[in-house]
Amino acid sequence: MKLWRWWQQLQAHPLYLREKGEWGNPNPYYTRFTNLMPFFVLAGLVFSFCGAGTNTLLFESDDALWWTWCIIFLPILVKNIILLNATILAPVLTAPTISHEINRGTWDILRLTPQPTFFIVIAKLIGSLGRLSFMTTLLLINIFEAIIMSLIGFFISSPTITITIGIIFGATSIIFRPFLEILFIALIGLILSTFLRSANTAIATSYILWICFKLANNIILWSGIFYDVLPTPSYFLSLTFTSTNYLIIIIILLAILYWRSYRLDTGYDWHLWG
Amino acid sequence: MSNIIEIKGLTKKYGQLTALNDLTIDVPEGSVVGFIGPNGAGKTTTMRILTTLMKPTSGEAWVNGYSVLTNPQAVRRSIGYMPDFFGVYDDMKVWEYLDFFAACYDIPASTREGMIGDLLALVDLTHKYDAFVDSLSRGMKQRLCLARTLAHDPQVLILDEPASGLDPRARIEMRELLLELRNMGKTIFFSSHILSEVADICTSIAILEAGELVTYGDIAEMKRLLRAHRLIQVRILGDDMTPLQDFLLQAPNVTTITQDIDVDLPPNTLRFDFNGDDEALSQLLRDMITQGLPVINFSEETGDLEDVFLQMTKGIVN
Repeated sequence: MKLWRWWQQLQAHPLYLREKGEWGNPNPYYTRFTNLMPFFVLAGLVFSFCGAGTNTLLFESDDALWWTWCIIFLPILVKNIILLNATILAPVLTAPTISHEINRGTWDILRLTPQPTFFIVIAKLIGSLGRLSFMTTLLLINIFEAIIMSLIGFFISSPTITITIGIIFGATSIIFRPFLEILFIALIGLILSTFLRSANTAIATSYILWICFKLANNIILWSGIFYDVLPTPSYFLSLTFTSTNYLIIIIILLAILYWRSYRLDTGYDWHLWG
Repeated sequence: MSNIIEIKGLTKKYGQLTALNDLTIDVPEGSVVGFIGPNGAGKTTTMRILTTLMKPTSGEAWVNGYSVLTNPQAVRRSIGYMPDFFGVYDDMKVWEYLDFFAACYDIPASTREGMIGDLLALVDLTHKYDAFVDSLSRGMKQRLCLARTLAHDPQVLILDEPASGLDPRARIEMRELLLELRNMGKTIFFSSHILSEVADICTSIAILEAGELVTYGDIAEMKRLLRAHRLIQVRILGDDMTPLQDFLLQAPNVTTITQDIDVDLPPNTLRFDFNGDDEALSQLLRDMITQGLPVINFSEETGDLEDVFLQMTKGIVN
């Protein structure tokens, strides 16, 4: 109940509304990046077709699955395009938020408003992510994909408890992983924004960290380094696959953000890099 | 009159550098305090601590009875702060800018519209109601920023160099605005490099140098105290200054005597240093008249704030 009231308060707060674009235009970088949208759509198409091409085994080994793949390929295509756009735009939305305020000299004024600094930072995070369009579409596609994948899972295997747990984890991952990815990159951008004076540097560094994390988060790479994939129980693999790592890292990032907010609020750490 | 700002032993250190050392000041309600000192004296540091934007290394400060350390949220509601590097949102219109910050202070939408009109009238920006902030001149932006500090009707205004970078006209407008705020009963604590401006507005001044408080008190009283050697000018009828000179040479408390030919003084005028009090000065004038000296002008030179500042500070920079 308390959390709900806090959420309601946040959504009515001018800082949230401003970041959402309902009170002036706080983020000039966002406008510039949205002009590049056609290129992101093209990139999404290319990645999707490349992804489909790598799944030739699925196409060839079982003809019965071919039509299923065709049914879900189009939604996945749309999902990939939305996801790519969102993950590219997320740091553009969050990375300039604080560094831009500090550069403009408005950060001190905002800090003097009665809301705690962490509230200001979270209002900025949620508000700026609110500018991302097609999130409902993304959720619907994810649910659709999760249902199809779960049905395939049950259809091609003998449903034991382990496999059922694996399928549930998998379906949950399909639904939430894209949002966790967006939140992850948005948080990276926001945290960098509290360190760096230059919004451009913050955006570029967010992308670099995102790419590094994508590489490190690859299950195939991890399986070779940390554990042998073959004797590993399937539920553990499912656990790894279901973005728990994203969830853990997001919690860590939120803790870092809280610490940074405290540092900025108390003026212990005023001199930023960059 | 109760103190609205109390500062006790405030110290701020940045590593080895002591930006502020054991500052203690009490500011009575409704007063206008000019905070003056060279660059690096610790003025902005003091203001940032008072506005809760920075924690002191030691010491304590209270604004409107609330501690800046233990109750910063209450302090923030009691103050309006204009930083030296004031920030405005260029992408907003003038009314939107005020509306946004008023909303941040939880002022209901129903009262905001009327309040914005009043604030813009106060800072003489009514004609710019619908203009983008980007299109305003620096002076106008500064006034808009001041209007923003008043949005939640704070008792205390803390203004860091409110007139810096303004042209003479904008500076005069800013001074008029501060005088109006003083008449409205606001307590104003502001820093400035323009000493004449401080002298015009302030009821008291605090001089800070290298993080140390050099002096703090009523502006007129301070000028008087500084004059341990008061400069007195006497003008007499006629060209013969010898009787006056002879009289002054024998008079008590009179030291250096300067003639009109030595410095830029009106004709038939002598200037002398006097180290007595008001009673002794009055007695001196009576004796002159009794001696038959034809005195037509007897006046004390009052030093301006520049004199006070130069005498008080040593030019030490942190």
